[in-house]
Amino acid sequence: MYNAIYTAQIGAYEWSRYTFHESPLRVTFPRGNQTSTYWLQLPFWYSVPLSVALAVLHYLISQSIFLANIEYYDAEGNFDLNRYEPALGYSPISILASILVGSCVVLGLVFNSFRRLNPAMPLMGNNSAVISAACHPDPKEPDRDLLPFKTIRWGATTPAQPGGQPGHCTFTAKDVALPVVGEFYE
Amino acid sequence: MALQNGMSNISFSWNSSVFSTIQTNEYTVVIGTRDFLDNGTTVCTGNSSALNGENNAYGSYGDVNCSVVDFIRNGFNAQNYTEMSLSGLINTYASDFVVGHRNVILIMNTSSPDVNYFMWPPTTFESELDVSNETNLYEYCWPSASTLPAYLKNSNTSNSTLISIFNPQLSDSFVSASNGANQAVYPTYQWLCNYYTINGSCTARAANNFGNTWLVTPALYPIETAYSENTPPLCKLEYASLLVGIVLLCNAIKTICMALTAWKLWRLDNPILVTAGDAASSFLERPDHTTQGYCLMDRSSVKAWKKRKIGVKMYRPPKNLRFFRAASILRWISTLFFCLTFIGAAAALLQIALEGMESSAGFTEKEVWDAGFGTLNPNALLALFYGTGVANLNLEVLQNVLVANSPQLILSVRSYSCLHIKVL
Repeated sequence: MYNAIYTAQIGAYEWSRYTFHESPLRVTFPRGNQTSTYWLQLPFWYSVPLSVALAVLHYLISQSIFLANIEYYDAEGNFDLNRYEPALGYSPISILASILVGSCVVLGLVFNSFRRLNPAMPLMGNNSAVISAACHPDPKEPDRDLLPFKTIRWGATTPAQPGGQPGHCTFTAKDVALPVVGEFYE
Repeated sequence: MALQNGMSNISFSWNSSVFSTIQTNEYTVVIGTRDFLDNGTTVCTGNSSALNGENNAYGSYGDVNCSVVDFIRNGFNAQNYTEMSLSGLINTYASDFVVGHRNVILIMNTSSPDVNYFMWPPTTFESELDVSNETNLYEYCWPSASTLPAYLKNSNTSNSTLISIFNPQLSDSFVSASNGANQAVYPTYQWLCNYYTINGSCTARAANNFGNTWLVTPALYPIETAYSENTPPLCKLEYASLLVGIVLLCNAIKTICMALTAWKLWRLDNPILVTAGDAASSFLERPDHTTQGYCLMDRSSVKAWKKRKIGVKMYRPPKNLRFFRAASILRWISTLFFCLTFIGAAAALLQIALEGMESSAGFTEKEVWDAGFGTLNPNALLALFYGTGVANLNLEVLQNVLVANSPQLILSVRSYSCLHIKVL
């Protein structure tokens, strides 16, 4: 549940970092300057605590209600073979602990969601169309074919013209400025 | 993904593969005078004449289970019994499952003004009393009268040492005559409460509230001393081989699926698009002409782009952007709704569990929390599928396994279904 939200948030943060400094692309099979990491979507400082919290939550839930069996002995201490009952045991402390851990996980998600995100780059939201729209290199880009394998940043490669001619924003290996607020770009 | 979902959910039977067993004892309650214990030479043979003439005007020993009487007497003499306070006795036996204790000996206070020697239950002690006006007394063991019959109050002298003997777990010992059917409608520990003053089912708290006015069984015997037989603790761990087999099979299937997936992906000629960087690298190598001219497109304008309603766009970044904007409103609503529902349901179940332990077993709040973390407690048991018989044992086990693992199942299904993340 919260994994999906964290993934979207970290993905947006990772995407927005291309606006304020040059970075290589993080890919599965790196080529050139591209990098690769062992983690897929969430960095270790997110995924490890989340995994631990989930494991603890499952453990606490398993201790909250569990399988038990009841054996019957008569008044003289003889085992009654005809009475053997599966039952369910429960533990109030475990239930309370599960509630507390679950609440902490949700609260952690909510508090993390109030972190600031760099608004300079359009919000990606793990959408491939948005990624595609940002990946139209300038025709004047040197070594355009090798662009994906360099350290790149996002910005206005073609500034907007005073006569109304829109500018263009894309990834580039050159130093570029951010788009100008109020101007048009295509 | 569906295979992983199903296999992972089934594998939660791992949680129930190993489980503990609790031993519960049937017990007999014997009520007598102090001489019942002291007279160790009395042998109960079921024949009244053999009981040293012990009989009274209201009856004689008829169908008393003498082997149990001897067993109890011998156990007392072997010091298997310990004296218990009334509150300790109530808290031990006010449960559907009595663990660690067995038979009970209650010594009647013969000095009490409430003393009576009426032998109860009547079906055990054949009575010569004319009870034509009290026919219910013989049709059912539980008196239907709302007050103690007058003739019982007059039974204040007797030579009997054994006054009452009964097995609370027997369904015909405690029935409600009011409904006309021979069915147990009270808990097995109903004998702990004063029948004519308790309104409804007996609880430990209600029994303890009687204090010094505590009178036992419908015949209302005043009790001076209580002894409880101690039984050796029996602790067992069992494992369900069927569940272990299921877990092994599921894990084997998962391993094969993972290996096949890795082998197939390794042989792919086309690049794998897993991260945003993979997608960006692919699009930078081969730009997609359908998004040409929409360089400022963001998540919220994708729908308009699909309808070709946007093109050149003004650059106007939001002034204050927070992480929560990265996920859609629908995802937030569904996530928070599920989380709060889960937590709310757990809180409601906790409330029910606490009320159940406090009302039925008389647990105080401190005792509830002292019951232990994840430990098996006889007062914290649910017998949801009771009485279907040994023949359906496997079915009962499976039903309980499903119920025990249902919270984790729900949590896992929800987690895995939300792992269908719209990455790219």
